[in-house]
Amino acid sequence: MGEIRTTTSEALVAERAELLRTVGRDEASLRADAALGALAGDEWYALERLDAIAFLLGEPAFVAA
Amino acid sequence: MTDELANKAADFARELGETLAATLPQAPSVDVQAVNGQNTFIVQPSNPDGTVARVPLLVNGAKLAELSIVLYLDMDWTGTFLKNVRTDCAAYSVLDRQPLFRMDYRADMQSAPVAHWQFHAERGALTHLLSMAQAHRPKAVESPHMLSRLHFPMGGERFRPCIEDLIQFVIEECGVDAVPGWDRVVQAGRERWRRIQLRTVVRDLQLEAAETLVREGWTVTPPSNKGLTESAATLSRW
Repeated sequence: MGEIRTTTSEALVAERAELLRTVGRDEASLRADAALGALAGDEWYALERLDAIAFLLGEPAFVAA
Repeated sequence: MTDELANKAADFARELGETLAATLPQAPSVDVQAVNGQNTFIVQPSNPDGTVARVPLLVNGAKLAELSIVLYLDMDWTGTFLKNVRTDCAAYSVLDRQPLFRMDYRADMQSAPVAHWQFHAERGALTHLLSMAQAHRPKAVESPHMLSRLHFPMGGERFRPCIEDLIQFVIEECGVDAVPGWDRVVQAGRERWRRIQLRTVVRDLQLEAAETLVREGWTVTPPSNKGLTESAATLSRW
């Protein structure tokens, strides 16, 4: 509990690629559908993690507002 | 990443983990993820192998849904303190893995309320209203067929609900299983949260706080080394 797990930017980029491969989407189209609220089940999970990865990488985080 | 900041993030995770473990059965551990050399942190439930975990929501021992919790920590504007800049909480059904409802907070939110609920449900009469409104105000109502596109505002940055409110909601209103004694933990955590928020508001509005204390009989002496400034932006944003 409360363990700090450090990672690298390279590992996060690889995780992002694997996530997108798993859901069979590119990030732009996934986020475009998120903006419309039109995601399938597992895509919601993927988007959550993509946002966290973007944040850790210091990229602008997008939101499915 | 300084040790001090990392330790604060770890304390944050430990506190959340203890709250979840004391309220919802089978709650996973809560850990911190960070990139070497940076002062941003993700706090969320995780499995022993470090992968993302979700909190199971059980009814009579059967898992029917799960709760996702992700907290984003970043430096505040002074570059000194860790600040919770975003929180994403969502309940997912095991039936279709679509969100049932979401409770989100983003300090930098521009268009939607800084803190809001979203419900992934439908109601014909509301859809009718939204459809009619869209004809006149298409920018305000972009997707009249989706109730989940509405952001129900809930108190802004300072007065938003805490995780304990969400926990009590799923236990008392949704009827999920709870750990015996959960209510005391939730009440204590909520009080802790509100005291922290109160201190922040007092810092934002020092003159207002001083005037209130004077009215209550206190003698308050303003600091001589700085002018009084007020930061009410968080109070006016929705």
